[in-house]
Amino acid sequence: MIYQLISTYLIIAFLSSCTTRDSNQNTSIKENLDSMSVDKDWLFWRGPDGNGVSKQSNLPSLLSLEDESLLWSHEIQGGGVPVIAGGRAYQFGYYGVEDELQEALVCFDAKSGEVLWERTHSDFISDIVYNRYGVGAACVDPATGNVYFQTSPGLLIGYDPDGNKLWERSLMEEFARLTFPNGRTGGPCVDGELVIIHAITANWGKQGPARDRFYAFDKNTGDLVWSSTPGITPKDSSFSPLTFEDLSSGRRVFYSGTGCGHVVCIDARTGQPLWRFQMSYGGVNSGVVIHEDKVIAVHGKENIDSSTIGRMVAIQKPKKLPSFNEEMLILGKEAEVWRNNSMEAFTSTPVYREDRIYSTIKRGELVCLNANSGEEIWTLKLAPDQVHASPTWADGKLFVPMFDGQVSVVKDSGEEGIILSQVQLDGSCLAGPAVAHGRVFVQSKKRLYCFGSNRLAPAFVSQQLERAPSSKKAVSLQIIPAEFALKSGSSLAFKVYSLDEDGRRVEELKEGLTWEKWIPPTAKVQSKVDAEIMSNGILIAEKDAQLSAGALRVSKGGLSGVTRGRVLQDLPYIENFENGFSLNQQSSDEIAFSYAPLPWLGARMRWQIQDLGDNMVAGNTLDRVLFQRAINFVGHKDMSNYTAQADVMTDGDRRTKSNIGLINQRYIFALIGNSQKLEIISNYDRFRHSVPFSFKTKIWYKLKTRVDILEDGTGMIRAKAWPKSAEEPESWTIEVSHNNPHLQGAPGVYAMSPQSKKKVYFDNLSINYNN
Amino acid sequence: MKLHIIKKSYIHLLLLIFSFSNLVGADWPMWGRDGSRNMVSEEKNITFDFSPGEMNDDEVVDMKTTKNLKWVAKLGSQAYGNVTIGNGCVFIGTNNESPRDVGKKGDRGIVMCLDEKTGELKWQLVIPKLGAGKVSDWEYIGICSSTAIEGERVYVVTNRCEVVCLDINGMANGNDGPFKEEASYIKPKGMKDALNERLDADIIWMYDMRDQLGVFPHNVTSSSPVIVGDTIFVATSNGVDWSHTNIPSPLSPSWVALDKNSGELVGEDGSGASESALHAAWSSLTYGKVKGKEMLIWGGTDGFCYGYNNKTEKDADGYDLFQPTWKVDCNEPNYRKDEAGKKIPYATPPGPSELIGTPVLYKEKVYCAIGQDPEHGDGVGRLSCLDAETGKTIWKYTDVGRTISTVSIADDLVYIAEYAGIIHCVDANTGEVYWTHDSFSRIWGSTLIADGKLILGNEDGDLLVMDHGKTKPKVVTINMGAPVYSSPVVSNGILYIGTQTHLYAIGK
Repeated sequence: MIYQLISTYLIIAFLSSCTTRDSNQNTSIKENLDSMSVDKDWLFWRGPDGNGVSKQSNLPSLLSLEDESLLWSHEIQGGGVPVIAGGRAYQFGYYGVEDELQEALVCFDAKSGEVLWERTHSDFISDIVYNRYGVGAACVDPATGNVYFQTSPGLLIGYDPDGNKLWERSLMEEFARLTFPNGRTGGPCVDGELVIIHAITANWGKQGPARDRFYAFDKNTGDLVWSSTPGITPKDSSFSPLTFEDLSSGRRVFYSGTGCGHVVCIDARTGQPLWRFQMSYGGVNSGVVIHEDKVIAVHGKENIDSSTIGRMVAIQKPKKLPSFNEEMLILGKEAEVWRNNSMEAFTSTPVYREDRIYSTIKRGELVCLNANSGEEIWTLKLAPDQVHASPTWADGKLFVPMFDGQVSVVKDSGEEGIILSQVQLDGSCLAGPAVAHGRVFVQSKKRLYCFGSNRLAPAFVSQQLERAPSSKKAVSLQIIPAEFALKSGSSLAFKVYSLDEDGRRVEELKEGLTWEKWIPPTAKVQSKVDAEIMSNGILIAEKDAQLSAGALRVSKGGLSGVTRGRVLQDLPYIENFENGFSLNQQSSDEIAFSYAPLPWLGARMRWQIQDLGDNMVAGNTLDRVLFQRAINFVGHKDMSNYTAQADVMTDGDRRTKSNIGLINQRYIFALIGNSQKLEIISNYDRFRHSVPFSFKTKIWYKLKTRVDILEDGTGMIRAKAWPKSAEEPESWTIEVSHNNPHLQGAPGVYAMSPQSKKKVYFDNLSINYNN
Repeated sequence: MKLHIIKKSYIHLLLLIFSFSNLVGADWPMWGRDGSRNMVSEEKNITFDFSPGEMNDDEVVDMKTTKNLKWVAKLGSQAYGNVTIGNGCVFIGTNNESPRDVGKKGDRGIVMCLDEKTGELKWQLVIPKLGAGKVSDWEYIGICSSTAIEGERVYVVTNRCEVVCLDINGMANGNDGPFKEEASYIKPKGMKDALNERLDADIIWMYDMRDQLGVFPHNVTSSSPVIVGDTIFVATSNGVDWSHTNIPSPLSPSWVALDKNSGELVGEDGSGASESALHAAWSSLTYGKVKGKEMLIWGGTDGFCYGYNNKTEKDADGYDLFQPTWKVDCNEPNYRKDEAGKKIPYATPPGPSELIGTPVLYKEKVYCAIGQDPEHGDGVGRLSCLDAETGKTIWKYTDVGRTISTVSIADDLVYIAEYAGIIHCVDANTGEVYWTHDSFSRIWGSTLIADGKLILGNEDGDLLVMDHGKTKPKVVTINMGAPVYSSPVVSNGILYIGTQTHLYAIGK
């Protein structure tokens, strides 16, 4: 069970559905009460149990665009699965095509399709191409009805059912979450008190190397509760949905595919990686399903032990999981119960029901397999191919959207799949259907469709979770937040919980704690935060605190816990690299260098602090083509209205030069070597403006950038560049007005050396509030 | 006089042998067989009645279960590079899954040289990955270039954006130069792979287009060389970066000409197409004589088809450029802009496309069709027939979707397979369509006309065999057990079908 229901009581949380028109006045009160079942909501991407199955009945077998079948549709683009809570449907999608494009979380009246509210968010600095936005799903907290989702550039946001924002995290600017052209954003899920997501991050310190990491945030505050790094270097991004399970031992775990080709099992309460099983060299985007003591997973990339592509595997769950502080298990082929090499599904997640697996695979087929053996029972060719969309099982039939935009309703007769009806939607289908309260919701790339009952939906039923304290012995301490970014001149109060062996909270500890700054023995850079940790667990950074990073440890009675974080210097921030950098590293091209400042996100492998003869500067690394571009944030995400300036220079020749720039409030300002222009970009397809600017290689220039939010709400985005040896020109080289500007954003540095051929440098970085 | 008679008889004998060899078999030494790139074989008695057999979990084909196979060679896990045959050798590009050399494991680009008679591996070129990720050298994609074979030399474009000249004898006759750094070349950074003198290729020379030209290859470097005299021509794959909008190297050429003996740069494309690249310069060059003049044809990454004379001119900076004599947009105007004059975004179904398939030269006309990376899905397409001398559009056929296939033309019938899975038969003179067939599966490869049949494979692994002609044909389907992304080839009496994992040599 994805959400274990221990005690349930009803609250009438949403009355809005009662205000909609009810065209069927004959609907009895009894029918409405009968339908007031939590089984009939669809709160999570893959449904109530995370296996693509709904327990409800009375769903239509005939889907058509005629009035008797199609209840409503709404023009919203995307590839996401709607989630349904009572009479409300929430969809993560997007509006617009060009500059005006914004992702949106839209709340609909599920019966009428009326938009009750919508919240839009702009892209910034993402690599999303071809408008591949909205590929994921929101999720609803079963206890509160609050809804959470993640935008493509990595804003993780919670809203209450009325559309009031609860909190917002910027994963890109806080954890160096990477974005990818494919736009497979995925979505969070709520588990108890946690909102859990996973993404590829290249953060700082120990978490600097890019990995598919899992993060759990407190659903009420947005504070990070734990992070988890279960895998190895990823080849792909992964938006694999999480599948939860309560183990008989008392632990709660979840399973997921990762960008590094594994299926992983993680303790849902603590983030402790428990086991991993590598099934592919590429990413595993499909979610897994649970069959008895096995986890069944599928992928569509290279296998690690044969040259066939794609495979479905049943993995035997280990009988004994690692205890607290024990190493995770690495499962090998001995854990494989069966395999089917004909299944190639890169992103589509299977359905599991009554010992059968239903999966759509790349060839455009729906395949029914025996969950005990992996043998194919029947195959039905539905389309030329299949990409992301997954089937859904409900009311004795499968609802199967395909990439060609056709949705089939298929019945499993036992020996074969029988098509009951088919409907062609406008645009490809990338998402699985959601079913709730007699309705079937399907998103095509162009529209959200709702088929089925026009009856009034019942009010949302809250599922309150039991919070009985653990009576077991505590084995560890958990500090919240587990990672922090503290502005100088501010403070932060930590919470400390003791946890038992199952990861349950025993109690919140407020007394008798010992706090200390702590350098992990394995730390490559010995560093402490420039802040004081008080005995009451409050961390205070003075106004003049310097940019710094480090860990804190709390202890009590032989137990301990660790948090880590950065102190981000308020403005002005000046870095000329002349002090505090020891050239004790050697690059592959034999340059003596020092690592970039530890608190710069993801900068360790991107920048080298080096001596350029008469001056210490930052030069980008060229020894790995993978790192040909550098985007590194050096400040707090909430900063706004500031000016960032630096001396910049590029190597190169007439044919090949590089790009160097700064990031200011979610805009990149860069001198583009091969095009000889000064460019401002937020996303190449959304906000991109440039002016010709001729500049020479091996000559220092000054680049000055400024963003102002004007009284009318528009933004004035400006930059100027000039030879360092010359006087600063009065006028700006480029000035662009932005009607829908970014209101805040972390400062950062930017470089792009095409194919890692020609190096760029910067020096004398200074960031000041606007005059 | 006697000498003259002998000479004459000798010439007759030669002609007889030449004619006979045309009938019974011939090498297929480059992508498209020759510079026209028209994939038509004159050979007869080709075996289409065959079975690829069954294989067990270790992917070894049980030959007892096959029918009419000469041999089967195991490839990697992906194979897009089409087979070429010359001088007793069969070449195919793939990746390094099922590694042939136990000393070299992991993701690599591979060019395999197989014995034409037995399918045994003679040697292989092992190419480390660039380490750029998907943007320039997609994981496990292997080698997408088809080799060009001439005498003792083999030319291919690597996944590292290099043009290399190889010794067809491998290292068996020593390590010939000037390139002698094979031992370090084959060793990925941080690895200990050792030179295997029995299996590793002998590189004669190498030209690195990233180093020399600043090329930014997009996703993969994919171009198949054509040899003209002492010059080989290859496209560079220069294009956009991961943003699919930004062009990092607009000053780098879309294609170049190299001296086939030394690898030195002879000249480069002067069209400036890189500055308006929609995606990547993947389309290979076409060569032929048009009204007695040597012409080069190139399908542009900007959606235009270009014609060039085979000669360079120096520009103001001293670069040797091939300047186009004509260029023609292969997109309909309404693919570029809507009725309001607004630009239609690339990679949307109604938007413009580039040329990925190779233009085909047939009876002094050029036949080419637009398409996009399969990852972009379906969209509008166009098959164009152009006057090869002037570029003037003679006819166009728009009832076709995007394609990455190259057309085949015989008896004035043009066959074009679109990515959506539909095969079209069109009159080469008028553009009139005679029939279409929906294979209900994606098509990446190209058609081959041989021995009265039209042959091609699809993503479902089906090999389709149809009668060549105006009448809608009966379709015979043979499932090959793995997707077929490459194109069939006939050479010396044998039909070659490459799946993602195996190369089948079919013949009695």
